[in-house]
Amino acid sequence: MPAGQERVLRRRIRSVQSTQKITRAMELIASSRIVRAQQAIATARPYSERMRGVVAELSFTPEARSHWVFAGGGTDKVVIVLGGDRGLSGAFNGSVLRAADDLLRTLSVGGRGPVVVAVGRKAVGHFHFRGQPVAEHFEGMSDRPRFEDAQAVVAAVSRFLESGSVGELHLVSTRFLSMGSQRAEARRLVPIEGRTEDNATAFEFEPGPAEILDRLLPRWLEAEIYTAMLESAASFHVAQQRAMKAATDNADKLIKTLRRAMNRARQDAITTEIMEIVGGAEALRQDDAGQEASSRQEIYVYPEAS
Amino acid sequence: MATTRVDVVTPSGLLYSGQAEMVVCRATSGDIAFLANHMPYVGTLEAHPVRVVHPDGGPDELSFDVDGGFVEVNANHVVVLASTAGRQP
Repeated sequence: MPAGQERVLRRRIRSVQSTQKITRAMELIASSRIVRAQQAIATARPYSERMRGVVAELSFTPEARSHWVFAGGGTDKVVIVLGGDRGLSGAFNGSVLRAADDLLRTLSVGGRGPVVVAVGRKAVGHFHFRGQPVAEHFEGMSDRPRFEDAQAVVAAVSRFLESGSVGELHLVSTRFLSMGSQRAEARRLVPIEGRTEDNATAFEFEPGPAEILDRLLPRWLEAEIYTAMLESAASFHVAQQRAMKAATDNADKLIKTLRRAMNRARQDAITTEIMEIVGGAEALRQDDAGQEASSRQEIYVYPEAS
Repeated sequence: MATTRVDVVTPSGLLYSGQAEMVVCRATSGDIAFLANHMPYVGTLEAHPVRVVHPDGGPDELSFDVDGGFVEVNANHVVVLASTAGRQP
């Protein structure tokens, strides 16, 4: 029986070791992708910053401020949720989806709930499971988002915006603050927080501010959502890297514990065997009442025990 | 001659950044050219090449294909914003 236990433990160690190989590989892949994702964020930054700049310049004009994008319009609400497509990433999907659920709860006060646009397989699955209707869903773009992916999401959202009944647009995503800090966050995109500035530069707008704003809105949303997708992707890779590192470390600890148990089981088996031999010899000696039996036993026992 | 700073910016990065004498692009109401110290301006662009004339340390003229977008001029700095743009040889 004890010999069997040793074999069982040996098999478990081997299985943990092969799992550890997988988690270590995933950890390495994730960390190489973090670098690439951070570069993508840096590359896209000038575009989205200039877009925000143009929106801010428009926000100082009275024509734009009376536009629904600043002043608010209809009563419908749209929520875009950026989740991940894969798991094994710690709390990444959990926290962004919890933030989404919180937002949906606050927005659903009285009457109809908001329209949900879900990005990422995990987000789609979550809402499906919760019985939350999803108007549009996108999958497979969260790992390495392209600008075309953001355009596709905005095209879907624009269908609701063009109906003229939408008053609010929210985005729930994970912000990549730094390598060490990512946060799931819900923020309102529309109505845009208008800023007032007394000594604002007087821009000439061609065509007028309202027309520019109509054309700018989808482009600006693309820039915002693209940035959010890139940050979400970087955060996912960081979360996965961290989760896989923890898993690899845990596997190390588990292997150590199992190996200790296995060695003890082997030692136990040896001890038991010796005890059996000693016991058997003892019995023989008593039966024989013999002379040289005792010396023969000792020769027999010691090599086995070493 | 006085120059103005020109940036051509797309989501896939800064396509061009430098000093030039003049930038010509096609706005919704017609072609518009920006010389140095143009007044602050924001306009929409048509899908049409944007010409950067006499850039510093370059050929006589650079041309960028843009798929529409926006042009913003402020503090002697012309920014062309396009979701896709390509530099013409």
